[in-house]
Amino acid sequence: MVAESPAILRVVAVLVILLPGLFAQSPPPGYADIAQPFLAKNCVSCHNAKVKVANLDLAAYPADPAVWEKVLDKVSTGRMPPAGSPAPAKAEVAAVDGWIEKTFGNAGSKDAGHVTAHRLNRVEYNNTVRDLLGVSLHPADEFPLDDTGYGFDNIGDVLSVSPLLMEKYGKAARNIARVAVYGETAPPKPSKLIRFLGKKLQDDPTANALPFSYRGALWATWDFPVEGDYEFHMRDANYRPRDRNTPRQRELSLKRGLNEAEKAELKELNRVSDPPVKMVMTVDGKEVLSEIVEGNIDFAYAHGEAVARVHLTAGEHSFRASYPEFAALENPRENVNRDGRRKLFIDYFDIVGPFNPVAAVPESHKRLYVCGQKTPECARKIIETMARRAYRRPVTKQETDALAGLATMVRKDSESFDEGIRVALQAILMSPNFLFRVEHDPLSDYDLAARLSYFLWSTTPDEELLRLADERRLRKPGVLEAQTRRMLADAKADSLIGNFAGQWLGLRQLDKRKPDPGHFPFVDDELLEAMRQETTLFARAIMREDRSVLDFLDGKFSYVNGPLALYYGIPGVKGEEFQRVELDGVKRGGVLTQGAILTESSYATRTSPVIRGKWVLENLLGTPPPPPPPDVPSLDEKKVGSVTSLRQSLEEHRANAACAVCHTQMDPLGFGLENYDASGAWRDKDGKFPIDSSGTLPGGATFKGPQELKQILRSKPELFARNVTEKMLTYALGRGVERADRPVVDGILQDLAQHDYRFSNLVLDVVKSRPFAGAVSSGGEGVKNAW
Amino acid sequence: MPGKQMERRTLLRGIGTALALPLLDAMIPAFSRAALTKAPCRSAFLYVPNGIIMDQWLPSSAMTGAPGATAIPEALPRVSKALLPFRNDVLLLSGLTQNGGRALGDGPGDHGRAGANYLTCVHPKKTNGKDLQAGVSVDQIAARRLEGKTRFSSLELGCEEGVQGGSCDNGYSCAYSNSISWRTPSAPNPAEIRPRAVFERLFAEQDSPREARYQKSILDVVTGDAQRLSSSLGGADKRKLDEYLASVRDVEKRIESAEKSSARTTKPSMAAPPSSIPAEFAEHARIMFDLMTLAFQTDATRVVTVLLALEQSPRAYPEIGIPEAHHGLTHHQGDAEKIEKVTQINAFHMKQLAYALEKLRSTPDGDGMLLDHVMLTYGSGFSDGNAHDHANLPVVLAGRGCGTVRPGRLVRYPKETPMANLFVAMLDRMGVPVESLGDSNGELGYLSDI
Repeated sequence: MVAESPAILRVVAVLVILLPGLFAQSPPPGYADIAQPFLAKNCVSCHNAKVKVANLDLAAYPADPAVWEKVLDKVSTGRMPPAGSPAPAKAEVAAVDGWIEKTFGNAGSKDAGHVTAHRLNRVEYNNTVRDLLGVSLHPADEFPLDDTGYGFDNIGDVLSVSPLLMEKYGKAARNIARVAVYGETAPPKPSKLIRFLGKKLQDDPTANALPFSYRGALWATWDFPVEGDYEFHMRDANYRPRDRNTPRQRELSLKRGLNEAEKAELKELNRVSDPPVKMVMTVDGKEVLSEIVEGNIDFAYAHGEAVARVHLTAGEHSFRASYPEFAALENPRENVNRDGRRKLFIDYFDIVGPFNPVAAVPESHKRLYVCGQKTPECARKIIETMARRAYRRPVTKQETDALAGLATMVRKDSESFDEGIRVALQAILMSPNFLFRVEHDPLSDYDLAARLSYFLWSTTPDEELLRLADERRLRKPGVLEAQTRRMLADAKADSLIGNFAGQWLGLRQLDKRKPDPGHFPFVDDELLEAMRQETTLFARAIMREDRSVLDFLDGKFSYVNGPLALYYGIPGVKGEEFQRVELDGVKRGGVLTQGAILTESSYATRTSPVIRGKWVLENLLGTPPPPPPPDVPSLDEKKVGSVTSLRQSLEEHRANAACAVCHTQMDPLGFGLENYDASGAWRDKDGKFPIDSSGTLPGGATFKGPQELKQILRSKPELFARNVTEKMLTYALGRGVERADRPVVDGILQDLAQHDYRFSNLVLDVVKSRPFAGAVSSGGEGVKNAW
Repeated sequence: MPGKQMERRTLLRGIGTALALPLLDAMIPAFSRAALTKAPCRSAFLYVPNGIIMDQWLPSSAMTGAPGATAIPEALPRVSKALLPFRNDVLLLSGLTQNGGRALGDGPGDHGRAGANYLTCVHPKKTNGKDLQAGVSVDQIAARRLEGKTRFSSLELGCEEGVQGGSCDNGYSCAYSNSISWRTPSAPNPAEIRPRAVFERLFAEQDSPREARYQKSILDVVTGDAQRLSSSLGGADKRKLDEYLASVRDVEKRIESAEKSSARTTKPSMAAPPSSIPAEFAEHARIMFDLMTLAFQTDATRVVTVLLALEQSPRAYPEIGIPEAHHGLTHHQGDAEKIEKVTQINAFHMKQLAYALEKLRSTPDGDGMLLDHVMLTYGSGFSDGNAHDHANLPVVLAGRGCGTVRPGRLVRYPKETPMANLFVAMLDRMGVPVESLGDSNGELGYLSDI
């Protein structure tokens, strides 16, 4: 047919591209009466030909439907006009939305639709293997990093399989299968299993380097292969260089042939200049060793190794060796000598074992061997049971045949039943049925069980979920809600905090945002880790206590350990354990006042009200500002803090009209947080200038200090709630939120407002939403696929 | 005395002329005679982000003027100075452009585009995730064509962990800047940043014949699973399963080539690197270059990419006195102090390139040294990072490409010459010619001629 010739199509395509331009002068009916006045009143002061914020000119009639789509999205969700600007009346918004919808209604797809096949990401893989087989391995730590989309690492479209990953899948599956069938191979006799070193003391290239701590601590987690006794060998130091010695000390230590009195005097002088300190080692938070380390003038380890023997179950345990008194050290740099070495530090940390290993049947063995005979029938049953759990659905006969065929082949070959199971299990773990979640259309009950489980637990559905799917009961009235509540109450729901909140709040990026040690000498890896821990525990409390999600903005409590409390100036918290503290909200309260957030939204050397403002707009309000136009004049960095305050400099910058439109949104938010330095410590002055943390938002609302700023944010929760809802929906579905989802999000927002924005309501609303749960069916009739 | 082995150079000196001599048996040490065949051609692609301080890269006099080749200036500015000892081993190319990195109507996001565009020369689709699309990168075109000749069709190395979570660059998924190597237009190849993992891949223990058979049977079963699944799927789902199937085939081929090859007994000429990632950039980069050299030397692969840092990298370099983030500094807006710091970072990166070149130049390979049989490019998707300029890119092409490249010159190309033309020329010299690549409009000249 002529019409299908590519040449014709090309002409049509060209016309389609050109048409809007050709007819730019003739806007459709309604434009002049409805849209144009609205745009003129609310939009064109920024989006005009001259300033053209976000590359958008709305002063002239924009013919491109994509522009209208954007306008519709921003205006109907309240994201434009920007936060703080006078908001148009609801009726006006509705009228203009209606007109855009009517005129350009076919511009976007109505159906957000299907979620792309979703490969397990690293976290999900590790958790899934743990829950399937009860093995304590973290094979995915060796996998390449998962790419992210829409801010999360569980987006089906972005998660791909590369030959490298496939190779690692092979290696991992092989190791898991071996361990699951035969148990961990423990060394036949106790031996040194691993050596850990502090990062700055790396003299053994094969050692695992651990984070750097000014307080001299060393901490890590490790997977112990079998249950048994293990020894921790560590060498520590309490060292003070000679240049700190008093003249008398120096005199005596240089003198030959000291008499008894002089020897005693020198000993006492040394003891005073290098007082003994206590070193404590804990495993899983429990003290297992405590020793007094005498001071030593020489850089040596005169007191030798300290050894603790502990009985441990197989699996992961955490341990820590530290000088607890140093948790109360106001200036951790006091632990650093002039030569750069620390006075107190743990030199190395070895794990030796296992002694008296317990020859118990491994947990994986119990889960795997659901029948005890070495017959083909039994092999088939073992394989079918495991494949069902691994594939999160019943297994077809064809699938079982292929897997059982492997076991049979191996058994004939090597005459080992176990070896057959091992090879079949490896195949299960490499199958796309295990590695991918491919969903059906419409969504099956098994798909839904897996969705729920990977959303709330980042792991495979448990037996209860699978059983409900078997019985087609998951979507029966009340069941979905009951299951969601059950899952939220489970310890595994901590994954939701680690993965969802951790990525939403950028906690995983903290390592890349390390403050410059020259400017922030106290902030070492240990303190940064404490900050990350603080925000994680805070978010966890919001979930566990079912608080309002608005508490993210200004919750008047937090979790700190001794060093972090000192850093914040919170009295009464000592030691290395984290404690909950109630706050008055003046200096601290809510994520915006937490070290992790304040650090990740700063430069390495100074604060940036712009970046902080952008962080708030982007991460909390969901209204990211457009990037700066090219060739904007920059701040004169050298003047900041010396000639002018940072604030003054920025205000000069804002005098430029092109900059002002965005900076009037960003900067005030950042100014409100200027009492926190680039790593979150409270300050009243920056350089010689007193901090002015007052500000005026674009709409005229004014505030003085962080507390009032947060009150303003909380008093208008719609944008924040919309943003959290969209982020959670994105994370739950593993795809971006699209236009077709807007009514769903609107519905959730209405419900949240009626329920005090409770965390559980948010989760339940997401779970019950159509994009997540699919159409609520009457029990599966009409579903094309069996699962 | 090492024996009766004659040096090729001795012969040449004796004759006093630059005749191409056939490789005489007497020149080959007796023990390696059997192993010595014609050395294969290899290629490596190195990337540094955020552009270069251009007036410290080449004197502006060298970058302006009529197209053509000239001598490399006697004195080089600070960024390229580290290349002076290699002036006879490199070509400095000027005037190449990556048009696909530009907005072309897509608005901001130059960094996201620059990374994904660099080796694909395709303007990536602006998306935060859905319908991810760039192109197939030059290294992967070569890798596919050379598949089966070596154990690994390609190696992707890196020195900076990808970005996790958050948004990357104005609506571009982080996938665009986390990798420069793209197997398919929608599937980036992640870079391995752990030296130990690379080492263990290169020198993995070989399976017993029985175990190798089991592994192949397992792959057969999962291939069946994937084919069955795939047949019922469409669109993006199918694409994911196809990626899976292609990756399974890759592993399968590796098992097969391992069975055939005797090269597996090669003892590594370096000790296993530490299990943790080196904290300092130079150490990290150098170990990666050692591994790259080792991979070429043992013919484990012929194609390597090294992502020295991610596009838009926030990495700080405190070890050279720069605590600020690289990307932030490159938006210096004319501030002399920031320009100075970026210059130092650029020069620091270049120093690591010099290390790599020295390594390749001093590693014997066939009838010469590795550098004789390698084509290595080094560059960035930006010239001036401050202005997000994708034109007149700084490009180093090192090595002799098995005699197909004549280094030792500076070549100026007409403005807006696609960088893709260089890749077309390289593929041609690798023996895997293509009609075109991305936005190429020909094959880059001046590489071998005068």
